[in-house]
Amino acid sequence: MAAAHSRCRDIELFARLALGEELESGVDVTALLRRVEAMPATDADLAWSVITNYWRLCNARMRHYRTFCEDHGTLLLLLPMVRRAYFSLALLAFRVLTGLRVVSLRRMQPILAFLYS
Amino acid sequence: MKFVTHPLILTWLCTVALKAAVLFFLFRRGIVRTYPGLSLYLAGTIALSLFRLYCGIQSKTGYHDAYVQTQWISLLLYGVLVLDAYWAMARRYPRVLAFASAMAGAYGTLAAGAAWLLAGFGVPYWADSVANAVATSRNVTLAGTLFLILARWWWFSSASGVARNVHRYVNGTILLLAGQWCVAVLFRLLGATSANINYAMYVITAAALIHWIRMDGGGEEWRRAPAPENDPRQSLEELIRRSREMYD
Repeated sequence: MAAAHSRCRDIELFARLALGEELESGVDVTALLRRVEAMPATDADLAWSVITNYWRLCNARMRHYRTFCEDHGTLLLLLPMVRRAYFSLALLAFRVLTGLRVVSLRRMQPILAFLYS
Repeated sequence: MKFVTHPLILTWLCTVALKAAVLFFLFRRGIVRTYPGLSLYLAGTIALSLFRLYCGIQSKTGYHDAYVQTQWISLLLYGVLVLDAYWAMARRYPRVLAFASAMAGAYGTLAAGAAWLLAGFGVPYWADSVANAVATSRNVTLAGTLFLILARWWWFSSASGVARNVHRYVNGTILLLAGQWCVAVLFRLLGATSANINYAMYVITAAALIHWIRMDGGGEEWRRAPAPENDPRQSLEELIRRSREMYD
């Protein structure tokens, strides 16, 4: 029962990511990644939806983080975070467009946790 | 005195007078020391122009010789102006020196590379005796323009907005440098005479000066107030205060 509930929760999260909805702070990103990794590559519309919404999410979060860094005198931290965010976008795009199961999305976990923090 | 009464020289002296007026108004409004690079650029170019004028009066080739010999001072003043305009955008943020320096290095490399790639563009059309000096000058103005356009793109997109004076300062500087490059290269390619190119240079200078003369004492406000310094001790005290509020 718990497993089924968890799976429903994963699907919901993934659907919300694909639709570009805001997710609550502290969401379990590993579940989200499992859903993306299980996604069939043939569904191009869904893949593009995920990519564009993730692109928007990265832009919005990086803009917010930039303001934070400007205010707290930590602008030097912005560059590595931007690099990680857009690298994760490239990885996600490659994974969902090619559907290659050997490409793991585990590297996305820290940055995804940051984006949803 | 034929040198001084030539319309080209008289127009040049008008721009020198306008520079002096801008410097005077910046002083009257109390922002001369807020923009030290701009003040130094204005004072330096006024002094340089007067020196070249003096040399031009002294002998027939005096102006030409003085222009070539003192060109390094002009280029140095352009550098001061560009860096000061950059710092005017960046200095609002706390502890920004390291980031601003790194960004200036990266943008400076890009701008210098682009200027180097374009250095040959239009040069075969030049046959003047001051061709080398003009070529150096326009390469520096192109690099400065590209550097400031990149920096403007980054700093003006901040959520903090930009103070009105900084807006005018940076826009005026970009206009000056980009205008001088366009006149030196594009007008020359279109076949303009040296005299017309000089007149166009003075118009561009006047346009930049009009931007700078509009900087006033009330234009220093930013859209968002600067954040307080991130003092770890203050943060700790704030945390303790909040904790007490929660548990009391």
